[in-house]
Amino acid sequence: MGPVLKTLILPALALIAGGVASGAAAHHSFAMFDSQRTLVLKGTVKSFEMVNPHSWLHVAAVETGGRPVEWALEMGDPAQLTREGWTKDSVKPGDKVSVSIHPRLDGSHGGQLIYIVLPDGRELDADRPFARLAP
Amino acid sequence: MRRAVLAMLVCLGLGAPAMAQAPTVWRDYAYPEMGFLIQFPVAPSVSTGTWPAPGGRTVPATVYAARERGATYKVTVADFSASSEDRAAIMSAAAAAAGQGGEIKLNLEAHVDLQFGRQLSIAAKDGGYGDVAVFMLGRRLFVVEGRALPPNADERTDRIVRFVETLSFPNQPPGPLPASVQAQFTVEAP
Repeated sequence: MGPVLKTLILPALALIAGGVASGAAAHHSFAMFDSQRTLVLKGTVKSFEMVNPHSWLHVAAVETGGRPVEWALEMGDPAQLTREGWTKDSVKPGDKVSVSIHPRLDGSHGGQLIYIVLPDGRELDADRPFARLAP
Repeated sequence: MRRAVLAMLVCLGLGAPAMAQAPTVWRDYAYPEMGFLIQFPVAPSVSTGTWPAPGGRTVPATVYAARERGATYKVTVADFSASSEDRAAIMSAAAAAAGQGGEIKLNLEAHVDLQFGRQLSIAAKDGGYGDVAVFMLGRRLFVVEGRALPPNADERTDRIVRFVETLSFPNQPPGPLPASVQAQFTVEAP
């Protein structure tokens, strides 16, 4: 195998073999998220940034016991989100939403957003076509 | 006088919730001379220092650091160009150092922009919580650390997660594959 192929193709194969076939995988691995588990959080949008390489949704949710906790939810890049119907105004601070996420394996307050239920009841996918591959 | 004090108290009382709710503005900080980009919640300071190399020596390092809302954010870039230590040994030592003084909750192989390294989460003995990424590009070691400080560190883990996850190595050639990935492929000779 030539040096060019070795340089370019092997890493790409590695990404696929590493189980990171997510739409957002081009930038980094998603191994830190528990793809076997889905959490549903009901909370209030703190901020939404539709930016490269990953967009971010911050949601304040109330834990069991009544303590408010903020979650940092990672999403695809703006092009991916646009294909799913997102705009930069899809959500705004203060919106009451429900989000389905793959939480971080270590239990910290982060996760991969799969889809969101907006205040008007509409659903928007964030990375659901790939997330559905997981059981 | 009483009115003035009362007015001040009212203003403080009204302003406090607004200040508490002000969202952080994360900004890109690009360092093309070092080959990386990351988002900080506030402007980092830049300083120089040293990094412990395997074998008890030290190598020069540049540190980009910030502190905000009970969390610290730091990128250390250590220059191993004048040393001959093995890449894997350097990264292993860095990962081990990151986990010192706490319980490692997560230690995963990770990649960012086709660079392969490790990502760790550490519950510190003092009640703090850390998210750490270790990468090596050429002879440069990158240690990215977000630390949520006690007390109530778990209320800020979203912030350190956000910090470490924004690490990027734009316009860099792909790094060498780790042995664990290479082992998954059989490459035929042309």
